[in-house]
Amino acid sequence: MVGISLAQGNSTTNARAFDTGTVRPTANMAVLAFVASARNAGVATAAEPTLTGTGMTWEQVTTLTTGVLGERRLTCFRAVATAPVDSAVTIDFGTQQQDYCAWSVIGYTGVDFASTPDRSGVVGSRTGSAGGETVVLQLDPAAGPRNVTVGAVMVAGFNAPPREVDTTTGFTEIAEQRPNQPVGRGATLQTQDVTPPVGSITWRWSGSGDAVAIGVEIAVVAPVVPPVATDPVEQLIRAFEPILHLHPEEQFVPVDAKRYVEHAALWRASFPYDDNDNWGGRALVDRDQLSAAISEPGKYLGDENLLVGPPDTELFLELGGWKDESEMPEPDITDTSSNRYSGAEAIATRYRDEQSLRDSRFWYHAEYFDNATLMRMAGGAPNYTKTLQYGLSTPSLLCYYLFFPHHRQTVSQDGDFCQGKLSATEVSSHAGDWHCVAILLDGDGTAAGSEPKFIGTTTPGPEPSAEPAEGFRPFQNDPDNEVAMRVEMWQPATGQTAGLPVDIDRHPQLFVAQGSHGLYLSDGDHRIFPYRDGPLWCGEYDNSSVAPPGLGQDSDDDSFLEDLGAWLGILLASLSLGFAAGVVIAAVAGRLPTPSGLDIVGTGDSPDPDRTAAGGTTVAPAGLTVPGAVTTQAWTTRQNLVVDGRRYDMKVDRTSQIWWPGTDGESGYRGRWGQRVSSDTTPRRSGPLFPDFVTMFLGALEYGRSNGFFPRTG
Amino acid sequence: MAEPWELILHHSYAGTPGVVFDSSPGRAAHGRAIDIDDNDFLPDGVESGSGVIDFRNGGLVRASVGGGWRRVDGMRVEVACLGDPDRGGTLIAGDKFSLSVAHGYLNLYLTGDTGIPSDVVRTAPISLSFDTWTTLGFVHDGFSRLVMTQDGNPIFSLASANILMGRTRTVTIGSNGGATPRSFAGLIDDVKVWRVNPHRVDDEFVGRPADPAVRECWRRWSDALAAATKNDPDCMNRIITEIRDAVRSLHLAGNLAGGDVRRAWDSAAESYRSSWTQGDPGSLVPALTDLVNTLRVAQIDPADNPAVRRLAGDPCLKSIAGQLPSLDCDPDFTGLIGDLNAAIADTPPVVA
Repeated sequence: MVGISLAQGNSTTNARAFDTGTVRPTANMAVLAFVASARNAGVATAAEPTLTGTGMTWEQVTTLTTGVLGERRLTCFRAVATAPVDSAVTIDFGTQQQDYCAWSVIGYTGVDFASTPDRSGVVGSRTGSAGGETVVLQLDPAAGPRNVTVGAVMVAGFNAPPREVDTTTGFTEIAEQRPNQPVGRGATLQTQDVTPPVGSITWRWSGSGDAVAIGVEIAVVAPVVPPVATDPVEQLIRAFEPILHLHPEEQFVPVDAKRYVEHAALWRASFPYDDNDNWGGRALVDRDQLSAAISEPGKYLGDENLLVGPPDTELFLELGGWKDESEMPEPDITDTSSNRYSGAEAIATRYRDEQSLRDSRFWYHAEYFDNATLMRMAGGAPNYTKTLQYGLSTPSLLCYYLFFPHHRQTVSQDGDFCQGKLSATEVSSHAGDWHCVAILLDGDGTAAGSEPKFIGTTTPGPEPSAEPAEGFRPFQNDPDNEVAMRVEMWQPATGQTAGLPVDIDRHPQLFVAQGSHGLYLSDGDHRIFPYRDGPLWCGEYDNSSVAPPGLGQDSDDDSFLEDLGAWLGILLASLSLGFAAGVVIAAVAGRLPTPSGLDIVGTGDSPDPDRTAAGGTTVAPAGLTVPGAVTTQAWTTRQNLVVDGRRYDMKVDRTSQIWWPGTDGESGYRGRWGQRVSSDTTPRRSGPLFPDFVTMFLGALEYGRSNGFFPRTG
Repeated sequence: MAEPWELILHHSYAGTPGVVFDSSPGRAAHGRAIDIDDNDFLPDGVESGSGVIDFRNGGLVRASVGGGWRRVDGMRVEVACLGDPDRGGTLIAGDKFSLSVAHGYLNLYLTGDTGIPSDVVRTAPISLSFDTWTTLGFVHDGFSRLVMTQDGNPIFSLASANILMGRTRTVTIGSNGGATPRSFAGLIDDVKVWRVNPHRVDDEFVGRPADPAVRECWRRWSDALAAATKNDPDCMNRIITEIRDAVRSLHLAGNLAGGDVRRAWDSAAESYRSSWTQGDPGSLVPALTDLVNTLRVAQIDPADNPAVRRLAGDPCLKSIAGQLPSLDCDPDFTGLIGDLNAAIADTPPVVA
């Protein structure tokens, strides 16, 4: 459980009272408010504030002062109500005028009120203070293993701007406010939380400062233990659930795709799809109005009028809108909107602030292909049935589908020239991000009678192989080149992947790259090769042409007329400068080198490596202890979970669940899982289609068989 | 790296018997073995473990073609094989090409989407046996040059193969796949097919070292080009076709004019790549002026080429150019065109 920032802000206007802006607590939400303040003038100690608003009774948890005269103060309040209202919270200092005030209001759901005598959910609190560049706050032993530790620190500098406070390792920062007053009278208010609870909190910052800190423990209800599965397929799925080690700075986690659909808008684009004039002006179905099951509220996604469109059109889901080249949010299409990039920040905000989306996190979907189904699927061109049979008696495939709401993939961030440039950081970033963990099993299809033999994981592109020195580890791209499925043997005795994946009770441990969510068997940096005709000039050009591919075409049936940017540039420019000269230059440029070829070094952007790191959230099966994990989060995935009259399932059923592509090649949702964006012909910044992970797995397996990575005996 | 060729099919037959896997970067030309017994997938070929198919019992491999096959202007093919030189048979065939062996000769057939004449049939004597592996193939540059090869050595060359192959829809290996199959009487190891890299010209053009101001200059130009296209897509469509025709027509004329002109083209093209990638377009002017003089000796005036005149006279070209910003912000580029134009104007025609 993590806190939701309900409000944060600051004011440097001298005043006796301050409003936080609208706070929207939900029923039975435990709300904490941290207030950092400093009195304006005189020799008095800073006054203690009181809080009103949201229809809740605000009670002080603790308060303490700092400064020679106690002129600065940090205070913590708590509140809870069964029927709160949306309103501003007023922070009142009575008659004492304040020099500045900063606040952070945080809400917690799933709080165990009954376990605390005052039914507040607050187990206890501690305070501490220090000067210098760090403060360590010792806390009481935690009352429960699932509780949350919330920390707030106020740091006042000496004749310097407010300090930037580092987030404590393992914590999630909730707010950081830095009211800045002249001659170093400002301060920093930083709040953060972590679960499971910790014994101490250490804050660090650069430069000296007086600090006061408050630590609060919130009681959390014990999670509902999923019922023991009686369905053999569900037992199998639970038996091999992956363990994901997320990067400490990861912003997005795997979520339930059905709830994503329900909260997204549905659009129809016509060719050329990356022109926002061709998106119909408004969504077919507005946000939060879609239904993914025919019996549930909303406009049914499977309605024929939605799923089937005219030729040269496609559907896309949009959640969070867009942003322009100056990163200004563009929630919709207007006459002047550019809709150039997907709105990652808006998507993150929705998953943080909206209960239904927040509750859909840490979810996977699973699909099991039994032996008969798998062999039937493998029988298509180029017929992988024998590929599956080497050394395996009854192969079957278990796929875990992971859907992240956003994908971030950059180029050339290791050099100075492109570093931080928006076109380079957004070059392959998009809303919606599908990944897959596929485990090839051998056995009778039961949890007890199935042994893992191979594992496939997806990454943004193939990774070079250490052995042999050239080429790639076994992989197969999807047709759009968005994602690569990489296959390795399960824990081979020798070789580059010896002993991998490291498992706990057959649960494979995977390391998730920050932003791209590439899934790796080992921790660290991974070089990837995601492009065949890659971006140039810090992503300003999506490929090697000054003219976009498909220029002038009226259909996407044929890419015959493409890659003529150089000739267009030369000949159009030469109209005013000397056409004969232009014609000669164009013809010379088009002259093909001899078949032996010339190596021309271009200025293509370098794909940044995928980076994984320890120390972030570890997502693991419920009740499983993962050694070394700093923060463990159990999978929330369930079968037949009913929330507000809607049903959510972990198992994929391509017949009844309309959001999956059907097995007949025609039915089901076949659109994009993120918004189209403008000027994106490749398309790399638009949401992806749902890949055919099974075919990709089989191709990569055969590559491994053909190239000596995997045995061909048995 | 702007490689001239892009590998779009690579079958090694080294994997699981019965499975034909495409190892080319696109991984899109997997094959299906039709009427080939698993026992005809043999482990050893050119090298131990390299994998071959024995086609002597018939059958063929039908490759999936999509993606990279949608535009195949020029093609390069290599087939490693051994077999009966007289019985021969089809090594590889598609709806636009066929490479086969008969009576000790390698036969190549090409047909194009456009152009007159649109078909080419050529033969060349080869050495083929069951004792020694050999690699047979051909290279067609997509404009006019055609070379048939054995083990990388030219065995036949043609400078005027006026073929633009276009989209390829079917490819079979080991037989022509027609109603009267002509299976190859031998064994086939690696099969590789490349297309002319459709990105090469643009990649080299954009690959010129340029400072941020020049990049911004082209960025504005590209944005304006996209807007102009949106205003009148039909106009842009026509220009693109005419540009392709004009450049191709010049290449054909040059290739037909003899060895001196072909060498001058190659020399100028090499200078272009060298000067361009070093960020020194101005140093190109002498090489280009030499080329123009060589063309004049051969009675070729680029500006008088019918396809070039058609393009120059198209009001669409002027209309679109009028909607684009000046490229004066890239003085190296505009200077090259201006200097070459002045050199052309100052150089009197050479009388042959």
